[in-house]
Amino acid sequence: MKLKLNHIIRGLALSCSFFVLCTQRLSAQDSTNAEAQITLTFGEQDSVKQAKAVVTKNHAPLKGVDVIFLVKKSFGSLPLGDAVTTDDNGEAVADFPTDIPGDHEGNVTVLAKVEENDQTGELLATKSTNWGVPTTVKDRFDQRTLWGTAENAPITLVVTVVSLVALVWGIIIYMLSQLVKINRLGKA
Amino acid sequence: MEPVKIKLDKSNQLLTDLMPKKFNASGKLWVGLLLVIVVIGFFAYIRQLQKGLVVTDMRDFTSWGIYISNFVFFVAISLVGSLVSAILKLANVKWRTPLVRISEIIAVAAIFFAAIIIIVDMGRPERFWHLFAFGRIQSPILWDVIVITTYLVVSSLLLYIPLLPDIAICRDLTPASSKFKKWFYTFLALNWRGTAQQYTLIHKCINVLAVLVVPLALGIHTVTSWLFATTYRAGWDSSNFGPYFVAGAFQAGCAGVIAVTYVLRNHYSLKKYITTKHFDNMAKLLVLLSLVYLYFNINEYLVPGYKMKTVDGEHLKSLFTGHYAPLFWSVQIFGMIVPIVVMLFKKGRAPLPVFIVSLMVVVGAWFKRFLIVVPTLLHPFIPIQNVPASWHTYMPTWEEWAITAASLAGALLVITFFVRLFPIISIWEMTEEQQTPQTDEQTNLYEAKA
Amino acid sequence: MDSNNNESNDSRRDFLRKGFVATAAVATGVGLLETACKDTKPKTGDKVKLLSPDGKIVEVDSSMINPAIPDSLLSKHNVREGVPGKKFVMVIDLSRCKNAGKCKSACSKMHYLPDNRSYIKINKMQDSDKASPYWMPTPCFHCDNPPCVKVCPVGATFKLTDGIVGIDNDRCIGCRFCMVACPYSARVFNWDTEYQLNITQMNEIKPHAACSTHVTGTVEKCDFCPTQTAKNELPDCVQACPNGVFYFGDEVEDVVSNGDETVRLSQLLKDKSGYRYLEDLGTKPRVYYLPPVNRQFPFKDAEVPPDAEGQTTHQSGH
Repeated sequence: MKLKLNHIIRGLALSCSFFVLCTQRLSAQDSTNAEAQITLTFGEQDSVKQAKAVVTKNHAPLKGVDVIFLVKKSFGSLPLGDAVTTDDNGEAVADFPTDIPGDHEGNVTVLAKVEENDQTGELLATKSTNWGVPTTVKDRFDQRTLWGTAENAPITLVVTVVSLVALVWGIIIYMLSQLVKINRLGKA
Repeated sequence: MEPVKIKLDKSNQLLTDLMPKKFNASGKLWVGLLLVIVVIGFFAYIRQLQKGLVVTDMRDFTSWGIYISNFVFFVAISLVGSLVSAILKLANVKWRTPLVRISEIIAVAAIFFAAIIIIVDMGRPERFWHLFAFGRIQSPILWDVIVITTYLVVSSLLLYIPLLPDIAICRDLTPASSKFKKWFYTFLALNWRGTAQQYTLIHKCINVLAVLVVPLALGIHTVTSWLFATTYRAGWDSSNFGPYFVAGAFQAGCAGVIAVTYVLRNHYSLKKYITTKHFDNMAKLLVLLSLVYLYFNINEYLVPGYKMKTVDGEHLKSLFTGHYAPLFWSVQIFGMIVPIVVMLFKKGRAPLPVFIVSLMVVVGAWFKRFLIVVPTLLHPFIPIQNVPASWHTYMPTWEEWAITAASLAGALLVITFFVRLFPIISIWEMTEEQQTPQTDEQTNLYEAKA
Repeated sequence: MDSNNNESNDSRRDFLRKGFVATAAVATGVGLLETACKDTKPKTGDKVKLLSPDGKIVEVDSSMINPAIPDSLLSKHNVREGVPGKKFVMVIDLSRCKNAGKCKSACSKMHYLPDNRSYIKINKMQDSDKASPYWMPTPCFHCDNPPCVKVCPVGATFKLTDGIVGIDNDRCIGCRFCMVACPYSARVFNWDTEYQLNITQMNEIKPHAACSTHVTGTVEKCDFCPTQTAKNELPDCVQACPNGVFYFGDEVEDVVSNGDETVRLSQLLKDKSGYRYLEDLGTKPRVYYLPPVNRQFPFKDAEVPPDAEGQTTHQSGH
């Protein structure tokens, strides 16, 4: 019973906090600069991959806004160089480095971000692409090593120890059998 | 070979001299003293179980203390069993016969208490079974558990099997009126009748075990040295450590058997069997072993001392001129140099000087293990800082001393009770030697010198 | 499961003891000894059994259950497996450390350690007589060739897939071989039974599940705060440092962050000549250092606290 109750309480708390968070975010966008927008697109020029952000206000391009391009990572977002200022077309373009690690398929999440300012407020666009370098985790977890688990002991070590133990204990058991024999000889 | 014929009557002088005797007043005092020490140690251990290892002076830096150094000491002493009963046997040294059983019971008692003291050192002794349930063969501790268990079993067999004919003598000489004693000896004697076949079997067993115990004995001490040498610590990170430990163990064990032999010889009037010649021979052996140990000590301290690598240098300075210098030089001089010098002279190889020197070697050996374990831990790569002042040093608490003393007393108690129950010099082997034609040297040895 | 667990109350918080251990202990007849050795702490409360999503029964002290924390992630965290697909790594910038000590106090707090104790140490180091001393914080290095894990006789300390060297305090037998095997003195031992926390104190500080537990007579150490990292949050020492000394991240992503800046790991190590302490030991630490050059703070020696003395300096190995 306690278990269920606890889960219900947790669930409630979780959904409450989520709800609060959502409403906060919405209201922030609503109240300040709903007309300012940022869109993120990906393109390629001279075989250089580029991320392009377009900043508009009331559907008109906005010039002179600093846009930071970032790649989302576990413990923070990695900036792709310095901030890029939008041109007359409201465009800011950043070259996408060729060596950003992605997931195992090379997927990365790119962010285009405008820091809080009077003109636009805080703007953020997020988009995923497969431009990253696919990463595979080199896992030595199941290798037979000296630091491995008991099951992953190096074969040579296991064979050595087992054969030595078998040899010596074989002799010990033989000795015990001789004691039994001595005992039997005495009975006769 | 003809089976040994042992006369079970008053005319057999060997029986009168060698059969186990009841404790006299000093014997009772000795047992009482040891029992008191054991009881105090037991009390101290209960305290440790209740309060945790905080009752010791071990802390995060000196995480191993005298329990571990005492463990190494016990393992060292236990090596003597293989020395006298195997190596001297394989070298065909005849005079060893009266010393075999003494050294073998020392070996068994020491290795048994080595196992006990390692459990005392554990933070969670009740989880000892984890070693068997979750044991990792990659850990030198597991190798030590395996090799110590095996050595204990083989040493016990090496003690027990040659004891069979003597147990049978005890059984046959025990009057039927003392029922328990009769049952006890009958149970242990395994229907020993002294037939030719039975003698053939025990001779075979002794030969096999004597060969088997040598690599095992080297094994226990080498593996024990690896508990230290497999780490990166200054003073332990040495490929010399295995032979260094083995050499030290032979020296300590040899001294141990001499000391015990001397006491038994005087207390039980065994001068006819353990002669001055034995002490002379054992003293020469001890000189040899001390020289070997000296050689390894020079390697162990001179080579890193020549280089004085940073942390190694600090560790060595603490030994040579620093905090541990008085203890270090006492141990090196009185536990190694002085014994060598004294026993180089013929007068120094008389029983009493050899006994005193052996005691010095044994005490020195105990403190030497302390000097191997503790100063190294006080010199980690990253210097000890930001901890309470007391963590910079290590001085064992009364609980540690009491438990350690109890383990030593316990080992002595095992030896004492063994002597009380069984002939400490093998009656059948002495008879066998007397019945076979002897060389001149042996004849000289057993001439009554009293 | 085994209700006898109530009597061996040796964990103050995330009580994830496997019932098997207790059952087997009783079965092998050592229950008596366990009772003799058990901690003398007051009981914190009833144990509650929970069924985790992967079908494991976990037992938790009722006081641990804090409905305000949405930590449903935690029950999924297997103490012996680690976060899949990650290789955690830390970089410590020695040019920024001024021994503020916030990492230590955050560590003490989040791991329920007494004030004078933490898994991270700040050592005064000096590379040579003429060089200026500097402060070097040392957590556990979570080595990839870990000497401590090699020597553990019972697998109580082990390598996780995410690079972390973990400890199972319900497995540890307290032989302390790992402590002498660690060349960095990263490990500490729970020597006594006195240190305890009451329920009020525990509720003030939000519990980390799956971190090192405190069991008398067993070894503890820095665990890279697995509960935080599983949630993509930085470990507490990283968050607490006012000077951005600690970078933490994932080697697979090649990105580390100190909370303020997020940088490429390889670039950072290349640009600032990152090194690992005592590299020649071959332990392959997962903690890198950036040398104490172009320092942000002049070195100021710490006032020696009344309970610590004899601060010695030492050469570092880089």
